[in-house]
Amino acid sequence: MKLIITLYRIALADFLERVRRTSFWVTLLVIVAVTYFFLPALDAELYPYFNLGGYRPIYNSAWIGVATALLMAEFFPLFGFYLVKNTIERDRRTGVGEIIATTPIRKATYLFGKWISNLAVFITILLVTILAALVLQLIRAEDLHVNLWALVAPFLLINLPEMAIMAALAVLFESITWLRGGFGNVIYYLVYGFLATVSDLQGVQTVWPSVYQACSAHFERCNPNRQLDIDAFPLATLPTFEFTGVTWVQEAILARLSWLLISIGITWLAAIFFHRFDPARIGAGLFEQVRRGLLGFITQPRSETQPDETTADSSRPTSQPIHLSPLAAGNCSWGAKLFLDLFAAELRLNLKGLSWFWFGVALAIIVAGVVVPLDYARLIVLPLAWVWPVLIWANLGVREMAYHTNPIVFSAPFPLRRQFLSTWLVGFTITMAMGSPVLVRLLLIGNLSAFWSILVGALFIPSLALALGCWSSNSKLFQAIYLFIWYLASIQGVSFLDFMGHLPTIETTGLVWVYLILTITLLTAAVFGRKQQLHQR
Amino acid sequence: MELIIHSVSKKYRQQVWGLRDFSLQIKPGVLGLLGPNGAGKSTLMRILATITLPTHGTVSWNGTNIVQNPNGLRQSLGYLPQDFGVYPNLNAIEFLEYIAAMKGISPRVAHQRIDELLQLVNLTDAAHRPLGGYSGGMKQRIGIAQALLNDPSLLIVDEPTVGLDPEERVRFRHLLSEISGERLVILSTHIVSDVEATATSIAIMAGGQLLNHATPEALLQKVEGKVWKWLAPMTDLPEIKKNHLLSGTIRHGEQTLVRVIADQQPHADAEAVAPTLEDAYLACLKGIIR
Repeated sequence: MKLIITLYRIALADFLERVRRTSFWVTLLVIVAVTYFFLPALDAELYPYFNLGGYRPIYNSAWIGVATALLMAEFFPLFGFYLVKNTIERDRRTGVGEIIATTPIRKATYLFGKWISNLAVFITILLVTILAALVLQLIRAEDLHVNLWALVAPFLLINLPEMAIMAALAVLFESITWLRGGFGNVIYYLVYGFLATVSDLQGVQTVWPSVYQACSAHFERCNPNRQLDIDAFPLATLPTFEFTGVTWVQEAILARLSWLLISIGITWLAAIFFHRFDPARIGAGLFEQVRRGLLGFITQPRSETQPDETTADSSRPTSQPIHLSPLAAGNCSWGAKLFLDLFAAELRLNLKGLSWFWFGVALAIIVAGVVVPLDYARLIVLPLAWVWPVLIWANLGVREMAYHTNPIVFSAPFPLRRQFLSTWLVGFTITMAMGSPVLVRLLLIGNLSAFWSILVGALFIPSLALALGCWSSNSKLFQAIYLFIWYLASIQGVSFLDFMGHLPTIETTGLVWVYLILTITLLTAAVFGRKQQLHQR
Repeated sequence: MELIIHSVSKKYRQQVWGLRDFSLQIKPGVLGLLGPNGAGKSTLMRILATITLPTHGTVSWNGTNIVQNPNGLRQSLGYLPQDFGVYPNLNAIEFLEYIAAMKGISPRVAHQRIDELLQLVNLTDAAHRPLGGYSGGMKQRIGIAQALLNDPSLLIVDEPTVGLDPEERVRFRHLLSEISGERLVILSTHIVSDVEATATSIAIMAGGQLLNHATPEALLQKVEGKVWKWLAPMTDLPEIKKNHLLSGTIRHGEQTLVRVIADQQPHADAEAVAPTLEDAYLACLKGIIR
């Protein structure tokens, strides 16, 4: 009983802290808006929908439930993880973690409290989505009969287990020192992509056969694959059929519930790695973390906080006379040379702290861009080149706020014109450097339209990063949005999201001009964002 | 060289004022800005450092309105915020080089200046260590160094001695006195002894307003003859606290030596003593002197 009360208190405090943030309510609004657009009016023009080969289920409870749940299952994990992967970090950053570390609470109890809190955030989002789906069924008014179980079951059995996994992965990633930062955010995409490929984590295989079965019972040429398309003809013109819902057999239910058990296992695993806010363990290698974690697990729940020797003040004051040479007038002036100095300083700041491994991989990508056939270099190497520096871009416009150097940096002369411009230029330079083999080769063979498309991509990326960074003062927003569109553009091949210009189709669609306009808009937004940062309290 | 603050107010939210109708004229020397927590000192510092815009009023530096044209002041400004961060992956030299680039100081000049500053703040030995491993006091000293990088005419330091050990604090006070000269230094703190050691004038603030602006001597004069001390039984202490402005107590066995600020002799045994700046500060906050 005491354990349950402890878990409840941890989860409740954390949950309240999160839902009282504006970002949570913005997320809810976005999800309601996406649900609205994904279940378009029958006479709507340009909308996304599941293409069943020219047929559509009528808007009844069963179809609205399944369609919305599938949409959530497929897209929510791409940003939902970022929404909750901050709870342990917040305790660490605010210093609350050190207080918690001195209490007798077990590591596993603390982490399960965090897992429950993560899940509670997701369940709240799920409840709002269910409500939005129900209201939309009544608004679309094609079938006003509400079958509550048919509507809700897909959310409970498809989304909830997947969200439990996401909640547990967030706890695990926050517990492993080298995964708690931006590198972990990138790794999550790979882990999630792997899980979604090798298993039915998204629940598509569980529900889609029922949809196909219902369709093929009426029409012979139904599309057996779940295919999300964007189209521009009125839905009302498509032949309809009635989908009465998924037949939930026991095996399917057990298979879905097994994900809940796996998520509990992942949270237990996190307890092995969890550093319990011990500064001596934050930064320890993987092997050392496992060893100490297992020892801590076996012996006792508490860890002693050790003083960090690296922070010891080794330089004791000495009695020296004070001497400072006066700076001659004119030493603080500006010109092209000094702007280059500032650019160099900014570039060094961006690259400092990156490991040799990072530089090694970057070099390998650049070399690959030179040696592989140009078509493959453009299609495969360019997306790799433009995802590898994601953590550098994510810091653009954020660093000053994140490290709280803003009072110093923003009180320097012309922070908008000089420092801001040099920040963008650094982002652009890194983007160009990574994409240079493909760009140069396209230029050499005279394919100017392809060159132009990719160049616009190189302008777009730092502009997006700077705009999101300046407005959110948080690197996670760019990481989430950029990786989301990068994943859809490069892995799923969604052509209208091809901001990189890596698909040859971009040259014929005029999409490049859309991205150019978007780039200018984002840069303008970034300027205004930085202006408001300059005068933030 | 002159900084004029004219009727400056800063409103944060509905009816929450950080500053109200604040006016002050500051000439070269060290201005000690004293006030309790929430007095509006940091708000004023941020406005003067061009970080925050005032809701009303003007601030002019050598005749130029810094609200409309902040870059003129920024060229000659050194600012040590109360609360600031550093980039953990850079070492002290790299961080100062970065800030020097921000301030438009050429690398050649910056190089020599950084060497001197690191010596000055006793960080030469730790200059090549990443800042992420620095202690709080060492980070504070890096803050002091960056504020002095461009040889500023206006130096604004907000709670500069927080985190410094006593030896470093004394050293910093010495530094402030040495470098002030023709400069204008604004030192905001709630540690009266810091101001006592360095300030040529003192401004006392409370509730976002200026209570008093005078030289330390003038302030001491105002409270002259109003500070009393006597030995009182411990049991009398609650009553003394209730009736008088207590400035200090020192335990003497079963009795306490109390120090009280009052217009009239508070007790038959009380004798007048020479006031300190802390007495004057307390008297000003409680409205005993104007």
